Amino acid sequence: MYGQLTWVVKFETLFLPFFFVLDTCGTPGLTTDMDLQELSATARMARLSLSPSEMEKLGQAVEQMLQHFSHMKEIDVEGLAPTTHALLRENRTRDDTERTADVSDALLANAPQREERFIVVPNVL
Amino acid sequence: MDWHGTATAERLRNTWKEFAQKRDQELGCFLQLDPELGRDGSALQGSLAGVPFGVKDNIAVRSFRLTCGSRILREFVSPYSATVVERLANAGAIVAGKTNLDEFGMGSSTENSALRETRNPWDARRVPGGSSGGSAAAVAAGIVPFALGSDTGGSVRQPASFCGVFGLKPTWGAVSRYGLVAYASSLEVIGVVAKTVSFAEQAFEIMRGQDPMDHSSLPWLPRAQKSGRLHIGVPRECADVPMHPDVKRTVERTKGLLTDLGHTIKEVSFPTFDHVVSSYYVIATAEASANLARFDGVRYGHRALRADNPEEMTLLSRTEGFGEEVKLRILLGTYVLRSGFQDEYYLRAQKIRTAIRMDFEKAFAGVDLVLMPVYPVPPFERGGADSDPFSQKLADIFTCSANLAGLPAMSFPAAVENGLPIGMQFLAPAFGEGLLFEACRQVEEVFPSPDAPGYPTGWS
Repeated sequence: MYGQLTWVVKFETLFLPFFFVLDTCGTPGLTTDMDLQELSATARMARLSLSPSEMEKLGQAVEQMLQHFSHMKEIDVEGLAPTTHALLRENRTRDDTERTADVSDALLANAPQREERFIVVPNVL
Repeated sequence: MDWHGTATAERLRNTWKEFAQKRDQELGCFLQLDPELGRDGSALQGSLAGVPFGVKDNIAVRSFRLTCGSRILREFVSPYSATVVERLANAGAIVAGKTNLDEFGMGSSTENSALRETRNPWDARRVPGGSSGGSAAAVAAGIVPFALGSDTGGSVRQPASFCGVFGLKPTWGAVSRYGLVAYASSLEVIGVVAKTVSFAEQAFEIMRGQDPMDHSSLPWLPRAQKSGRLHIGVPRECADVPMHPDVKRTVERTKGLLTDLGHTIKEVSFPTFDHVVSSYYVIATAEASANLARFDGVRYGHRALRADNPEEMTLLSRTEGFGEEVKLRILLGTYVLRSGFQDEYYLRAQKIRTAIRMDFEKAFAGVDLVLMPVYPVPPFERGGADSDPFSQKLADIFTCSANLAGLPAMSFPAAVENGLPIGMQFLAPAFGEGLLFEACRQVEEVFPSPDAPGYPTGWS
């Protein structure tokens, strides 16, 4: 059923190195764990571009949370296994059988730009 | 007047429609209201025949928008319905509309919605709580008798408490998450905000159970139900949390009420109590940064117009589409997952999560339920004057431990102080929802959900 749905660009190919330089000049207020360089690097990884005023405001908010997180050092976690899911015990797989879902038109209708059944993106090369 | 058959009887539908539109205009509960109740393909017969319900706008309903309260999904129309919505529709209930929320469920006031402002039916200057604030306001205003929400760290219980209604956060995995837009997958569950315990219980019984479309959903294995006198634990550490005097009074009054009902209050200890908020926010933001990576502007959602290449398109689409709180959580989550920081933050938080689970196991060896406040302060005013975003995060201290441990919890209205409702919550061992309903029903008989000003008589 999904066979008709063709991506022009595979999502994975979007994760190429980034060339955006963030303007981080003159942003005060960051001191400890999260300095400006770290914040810019993190924003780049998160595919976000921060304006100077966002750098200041979000930088302070991130810093405040990281300081709060630092109290976790006070608790002894020696010998404790990490919990990823509280109640999930094992992986479950479904039967390898065919099923249909007639949603491709409704999915394509949500595409921001398209030509017939193709999704259009800016030039890749 | 009885509105239970609203969708099927035309005369009822017209009075309901008029009321719903007027109240929604005043309070801003819905991002999309369907006053004709004609969209969702309900079976119209069954135990909830003709009962309209609200659906938080991060849960999919076919042919309705699914915005998550975000600019990035403002125009998105859902191609399919969540399993919970299908199941409720098969039982005769009918979707009245999509309710407002903090963007992607991130917040405690619904002020982080990019699309609409929601007011508390008890006082229009105050927030309805969040993130399921639209659902709670719609139920408290009497537009619908129950509404779906999602609870990642308290997002069903806290708004229910702020609006004077009941809020159920089920056991993690007891209810299918198929059709819920993912924020923090290991913490979040779909829950119910309801005017009565009965509506919450009916909706839960219809929704629960394993779903082939959600591989993390679990078969319904209810705990053997204890009845009669219960041992109810109150964490000793609760008293150290700074609380508003009205909330403190409500805690004492609720303990007194439960003792009068024949139950025994016991002190229990949660040595991890001080660390639940940190552990919660490390894990929630880490999962959020991964889950929200899917919004790239390619296949759906907002796309930036002026991009020259796909990389720039993704960067600008996300930057333009996400609000401030979402950006903050994505940044935090990305940071704690960076190589070199993982052990210090993410891994440590997961180990503390184990310690939190062990605290609950120890507590439940000696008590049947745990009683806690829901939120340290009463419903606050819009605009952040008396509660900034950082204090709102710290205030998740009473609610987020149930999410970390995967346990069911239910908030109930416990007082009206200075004209504002204040809630308390019970927590139970996994799959102990039956006991939550039983205990809440006993409280409800003495103190039913108080009617907000203008509450209609239709759902009695």
